[in-house]
Amino acid sequence: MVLFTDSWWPRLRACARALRCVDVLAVLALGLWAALPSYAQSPVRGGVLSISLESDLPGIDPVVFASNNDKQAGILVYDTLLDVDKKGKLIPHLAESFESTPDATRFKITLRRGVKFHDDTPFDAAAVVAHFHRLMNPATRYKGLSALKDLESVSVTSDLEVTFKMKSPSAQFLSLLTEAPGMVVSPAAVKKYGENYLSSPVGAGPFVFKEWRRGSQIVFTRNSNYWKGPVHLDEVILRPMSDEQTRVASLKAGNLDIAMNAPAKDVIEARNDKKFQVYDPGSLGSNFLQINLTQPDVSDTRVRQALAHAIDRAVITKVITRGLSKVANTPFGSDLPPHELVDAYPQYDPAKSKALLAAYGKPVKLKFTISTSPLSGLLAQAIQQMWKKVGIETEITPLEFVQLIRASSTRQYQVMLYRFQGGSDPDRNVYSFFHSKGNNNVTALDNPEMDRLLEAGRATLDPAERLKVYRQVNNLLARELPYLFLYYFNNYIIAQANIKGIQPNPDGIIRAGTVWKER
Amino acid sequence: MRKLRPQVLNLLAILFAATALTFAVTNVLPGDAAVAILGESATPAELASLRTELGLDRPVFVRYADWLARAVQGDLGQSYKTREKIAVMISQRLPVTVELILLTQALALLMAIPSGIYAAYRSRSKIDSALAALSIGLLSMPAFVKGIVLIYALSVMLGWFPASGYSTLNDGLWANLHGMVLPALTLALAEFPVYMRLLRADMISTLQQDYILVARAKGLSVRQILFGHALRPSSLSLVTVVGINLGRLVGGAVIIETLFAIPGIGQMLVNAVYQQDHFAIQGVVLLIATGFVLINIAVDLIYALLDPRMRVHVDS
Repeated sequence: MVLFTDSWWPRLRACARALRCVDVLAVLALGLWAALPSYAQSPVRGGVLSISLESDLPGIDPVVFASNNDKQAGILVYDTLLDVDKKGKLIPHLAESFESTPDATRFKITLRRGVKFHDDTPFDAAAVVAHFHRLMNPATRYKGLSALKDLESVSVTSDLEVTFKMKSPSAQFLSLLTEAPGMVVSPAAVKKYGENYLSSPVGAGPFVFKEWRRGSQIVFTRNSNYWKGPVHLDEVILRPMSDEQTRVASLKAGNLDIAMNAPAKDVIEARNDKKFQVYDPGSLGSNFLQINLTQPDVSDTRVRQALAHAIDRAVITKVITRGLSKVANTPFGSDLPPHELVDAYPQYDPAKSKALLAAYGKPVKLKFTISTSPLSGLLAQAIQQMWKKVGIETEITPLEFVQLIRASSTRQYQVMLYRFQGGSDPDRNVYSFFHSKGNNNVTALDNPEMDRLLEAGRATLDPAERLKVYRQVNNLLARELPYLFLYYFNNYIIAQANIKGIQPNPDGIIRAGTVWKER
Repeated sequence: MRKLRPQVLNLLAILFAATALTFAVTNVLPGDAAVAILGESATPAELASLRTELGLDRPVFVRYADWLARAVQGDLGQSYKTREKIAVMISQRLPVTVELILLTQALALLMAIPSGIYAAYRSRSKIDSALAALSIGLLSMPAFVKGIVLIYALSVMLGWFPASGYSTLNDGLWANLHGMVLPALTLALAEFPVYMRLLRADMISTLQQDYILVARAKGLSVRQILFGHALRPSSLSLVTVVGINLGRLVGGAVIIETLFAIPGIGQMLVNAVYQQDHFAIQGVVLLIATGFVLINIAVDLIYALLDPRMRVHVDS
C-alpha cells in the first residue's frame, strides 16, 4: 500500500505523457493524411478569389502604403524585390541574388533577366533606381521615408545590378526590400499618369490592376507573363469591409473567400468547421502598453515595475484573446530570431507590485489612452481592474485611431495601449522606438547603453552576433520598461476550404500568385 | 413663385450655417489630416511641411472663407487622402445612396400602407395589437442590430442574399437589387412602424367622419371606402414624415452602408471623418443639407396636391 502511494503520482504523469504522445502522433498522422491529397492534387486554372480588406486604400502606390492592409494590394501588383521564408529569413524574389559588404554599408542586388512590367517596359536596374529616387524625393511624401534616412545613394552598376550605399552600417536595410520600398513601380507609368498614378498602378507582380470601385472593390486580373510561372486565378478582388462582423458573415454566407484579421471568437468557430481553414501565419510584432517616461509617477522605474507585476497576462491571453495569442516578453514576434530571448521580464506578482508601490510612497493615478476598438476597450478594462487590485487608479480615454497616433507621436499621453505589427528585421521593431534619436521614440527613452546596442545591431550581419545584441536589448527593455509587453501580434486568416496553395507568411499578407481554387 | 423666394433665401442661410458649423466642429476635433496622411512613422518636420502644403496652418475662418469662395464657384476641392475631386467622389457615390433610400421608402410603404389601413379598420383587434407590439419591438432595436440579425438569418443561414457588397447597374439589375435588398430592408424595418402607426391614427379619425358614414350608407364596398375615400385625407402626416425621412435616412445610411460595405455617401462620410478629410466632410454635409431643404420645399408643394384647402391658401 505504501509502495503504491509513493509511486502513483509519477506513474500518472508518465501515463499522461504517454497519452499526450499518442495525441501528438494522432494529430501528426491526421495532418499527413489531410496534407497528402492536397499534394496529390494539381492546381486548377481559373476562378475569382475575393479577399477582405479592413479599409479602402489610400492609393495603389507604395508611396502611400502604411499598413499590411495596403500592402495586400501592393503585393498583387508589384511583388517585392526580396521575400522572407517561413522562418523569417531573406530569400531572393524579383532580385535573383543579393550581397553586402561585411560592414553593412553597401548592398548590391541583381535582378532577374527578362522580367517586364505590365506595360511591357523592362524591369531593370534603371527602373529600380528611378523607383528609389521617387521614394527619396521629399515632394513625393513617401510614408516610410524615415526608414530610408540612412540611404546615401542608389545607383545602376550594370543593366541588372543596383548598388545601395548607406551613410552608416545598416544591417536591417535589405529587409526593407520585402516591403513597400521593394515594390517597384514602372517609371514609364509614373510619368504617363502623374498624379493619377495612385489609381493606375503598374508593376511586375502576378496580377494586373483592372478596376477600382472606390469603397466597394478593387479588381486585378492574371498577369500571363508572370516571371515565376503560371498564375492560376483569373481574378483577385479586394473588398474593403470596415466592420469585422460583416467580414465574418460574408465568409459564412460564401460571398468572400478569405477574411483577414478575424475576431478570436470566429477564428475558434472556424477551426471547428470543415467549411473553413484557419492559418496562423505567426507574428512579427506585439501588443503592448507604452509609457511616456516624462510623465509624473511613471517616470519612476519602481512604478513601471509595479505596473508590470500587476498585470496577469496569462488571464488576458486566455480570456480576451481566447488562447489565440502568446504572452510577449520581448518586442520580437515568433518569426524574428530574438523572439523571447530575455533573461527576466517582470512576471505577474501582485505582492511584489504592492511592495514596489509602497517603496515609491505616493499614490499612483494613471491616465490610460486607448483606441476605440472593442478589443482595446476590453483589454483596458481588464488591466484597469488588475491595477486597481494593487491600489492604482486608472482613467481610460478612448481616441479615434488618427488621434491616437497623434497623441502618441506628440507624447501627449501617460500610458497608452498600442501595437506594432512588426518589420521583417529585428532592428525595425526597436531602433526607431528606443534609440534616443529614433523617429518614433514616443516613450522618450534616453539610455546610452540602449543607443550603443541598437547601433551594434545594425553594424553586423553575423546572425549569432546580432542575436547576442538583441538579447541584451531585450534584457535592457525588461529592466527599463518603456513598454509593458502584453502579447504577440498575430494575423489569423480564415479561408474557405476550397482555397488551396496559401503559403502563410508572418506578415499575414496573401501571396495570391500561388493560390488556386478547387471546384 | 413669390412663395418660393423666401424659401430660397432660407436654403442659402441653412447651407451657410450647416457648412460653417461643420467646418468649425471638424476643425476643433483633436487629430489632424497630416497625421492621417503620413501615418505613424512621420517625423514632426514632415508633418509640418505637409500642413503648410495643405494650408492647415492657417486659421480656421480663413480656411472656411477659402473653401466657401471656391464652393460658390462649384469647386468642392480635393480629398487630402486620395487626391480625388470631391465632386467626382460625390457623383460616384450619390446614386448608390439615393437608390438605397428610395428602395427603403418603397419597402417601408409597401409594408406600412396595407397594415396601417388594416389596423385602423380593425382597430383593437388581435392583429392590431400584434402589429403594435411588432412596431415597438422594431423601433427599439437599433439599425445595426437589425442588420446583423438579418444578415445572419437571410444570408448566413438561408443564403438568399449576399451578406455584403455592392454591384452596379452595369452588372445587371438583378445583381444590383439582390445586393440592395438586405440593407434597404434593414432601414425599412425602422421606418415601417412609424409610417404604419401614423397612417393608422389618421385613418381612425377619418373613418369617424360623416362623409364615410354617407359613403357606407350609399352601399360602397369596404375597399372603395378605405382606398378611394379614406386613404388620401389620412395620408397628410404620412407624406410629411416620408418626406422628412428622406433626409433623415441619409443618417441611417451612414451605419448601414458601413455595415454592408456599400460605397455610398454615408460610407464616404464615415471614412472622411476618420481621416479628417475636411473637404470631403464639407462636400457631403453641403449635399445633405441641400437635399434636406429641397425635400422640405417639395413636401410643402405636395401638400397642395393632397389637400385642396392648402391650394386655396397658396392662391390667395
